[in-house]
Amino acid sequence: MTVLLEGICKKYSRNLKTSLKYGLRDALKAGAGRADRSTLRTGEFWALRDIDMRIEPGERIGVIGRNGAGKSTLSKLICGISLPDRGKLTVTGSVDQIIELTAGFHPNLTGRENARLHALIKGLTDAEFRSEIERIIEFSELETFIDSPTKFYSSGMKARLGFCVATMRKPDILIVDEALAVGDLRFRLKCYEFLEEYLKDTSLILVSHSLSQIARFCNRGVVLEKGRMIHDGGVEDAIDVYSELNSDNTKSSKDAVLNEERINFKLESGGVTINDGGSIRYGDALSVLLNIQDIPPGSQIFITLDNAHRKHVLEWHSSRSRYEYRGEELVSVNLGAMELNGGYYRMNVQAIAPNGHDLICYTPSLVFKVEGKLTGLADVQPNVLWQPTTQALAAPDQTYNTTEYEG
Amino acid sequence: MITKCFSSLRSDLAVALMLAKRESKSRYSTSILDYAWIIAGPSIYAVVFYFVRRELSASGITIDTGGVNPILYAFIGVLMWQVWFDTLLKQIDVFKYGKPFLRAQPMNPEVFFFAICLSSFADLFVRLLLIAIAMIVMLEPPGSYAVWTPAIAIILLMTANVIGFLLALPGSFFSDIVKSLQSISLGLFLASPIFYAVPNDTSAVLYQLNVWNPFGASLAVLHGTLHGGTFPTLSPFLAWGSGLLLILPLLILLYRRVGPLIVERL
Repeated sequence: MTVLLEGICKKYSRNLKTSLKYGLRDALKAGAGRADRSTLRTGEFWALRDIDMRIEPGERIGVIGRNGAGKSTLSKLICGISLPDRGKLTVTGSVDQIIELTAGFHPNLTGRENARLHALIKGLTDAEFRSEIERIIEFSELETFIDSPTKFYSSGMKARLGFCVATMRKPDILIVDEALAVGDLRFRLKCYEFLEEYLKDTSLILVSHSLSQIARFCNRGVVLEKGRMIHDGGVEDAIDVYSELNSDNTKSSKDAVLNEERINFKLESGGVTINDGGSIRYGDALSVLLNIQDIPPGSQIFITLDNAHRKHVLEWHSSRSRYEYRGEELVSVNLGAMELNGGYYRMNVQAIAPNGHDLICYTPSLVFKVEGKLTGLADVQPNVLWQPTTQALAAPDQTYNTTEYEG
Repeated sequence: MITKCFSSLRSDLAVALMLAKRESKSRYSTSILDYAWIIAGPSIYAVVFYFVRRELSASGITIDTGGVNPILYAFIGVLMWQVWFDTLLKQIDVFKYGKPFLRAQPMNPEVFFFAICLSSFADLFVRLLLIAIAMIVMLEPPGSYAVWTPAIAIILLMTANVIGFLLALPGSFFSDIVKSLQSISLGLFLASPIFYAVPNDTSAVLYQLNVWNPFGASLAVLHGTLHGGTFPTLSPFLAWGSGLLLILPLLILLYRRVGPLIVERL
């Protein structure tokens, strides 16, 4: 099994009507054996440019990149769903793709009937399907629903069935495109465990925005940016390159701001000011110095920390710390140690009026980097004390009672 | 090349059969009348035809049914027209039909052609059965060539399937073909030789139009077998039928090559 990409290019059109016109022309030319799609026409752009890559047996490649970088286009080309416009693509061995988990499910047919159809498409015999359906029912936990029409399934149930159906036959090369966020956390962990076994002797191409999934499953990382491959090598290096890309994205922030002149803030670590784009090390303590103007006393102030994907990581709320703002001009906030995954983070400060509803200030973000190669599932990675012990595990009735906290 | 084309035929047909079953199972699943709609639609048309014909006759305009009961005449015409026209439109949209699968996994596009074919033949079988029952109930004697009806009907449907599959290439990119056919469907229906006997005057424009075009040739012959009377020349029907069957393998090869180019634009 090998996949060889030599100078692969793929183009698309920005305009629907032009796209259809070119599509018909290309299809007719290809049908007549006179296909030359190697140049750009009006309204077209390169979705992938000059991709050279060789995938050997057993390799697990993580493909990362920002939206529109060409990740899904690359996976579709390797899978054979799409054709390259330039270059040579050689695939030896069977390829399967997990992309849209519920693609092809008919809402009026039962889960079993839909699974049967997909089994046929994948070339399973009746006997193979009979053994597979037992696994599917058990794994997807759809015992009572497998003979109900899939239109009565929740989205999570459909996705669970879709994942099981997609993994009915083991290919030489498996392409997974943003399809591992299946169901709830418990089922997701079950999928991860299943994949570890399933992927033995199978090459993997994993397209994902989740760096933790990439770090978990892959031994090689590829970073795409605007259709070009800007990195092909170790996973950790690929994650670093991708984080750098996201930092550019966050620096050129187009976030909405509100009354930004009312609060200025400065980030400090060990007495040193951290400027926009600056960096700290894992575990460094941070403090924030707020310079506040024209914020009414009684307002609530909070500082938020988002990761590179703009997901909230931490929040420090004045009310949580029982701090009542009385109109002071300078306020210092000690944030403590930043035990965070390596990567870029963005911080901003917001103020809510004393009525508790109206947002009265929202500052621009300050971006900083946490240096470090550690990449875990969560952004927050506390450094705690781990030590051997002789103490036996407490019986259930001896566990601590739940303590109720105010707020 | 042909051998390669048909090496996966068996598995493709198995998938197509499953898709056809899925189609027939789900088609009427949300209606109260269920499969009765196969007979209900044409029956309503036939009754309307009866009253329109009676009113026109009162005004001095006659619609010649060649001595066949007008309700039965319309019923048979509508049944055959519906299956033919539906098949044609479905085949033009064959890539849209297969899109959820074709975008998720590499598959041969002809699987969906075969699925629509099988589905249309099942429809045809049911309709021929209904026609036979209707003729018995209404004590209508079969035409002289009635024994050929199933064979002619199969070729008729095959032409609809292949013409539709041929038009699927432009039809997948631009909906103008389907929209044009739909907008003139009533005119096509009323002028089609399944509804009116092909004129005896072989030099008439309508005769030429109906007998020589690939759509009309098989419909004209089917009309002859069902109702007797003037039988049109068979050569255009046989030429179109065999010609279209011959280009089918070439179409399959063409779509295997350009299928991904079509699907990525849908």
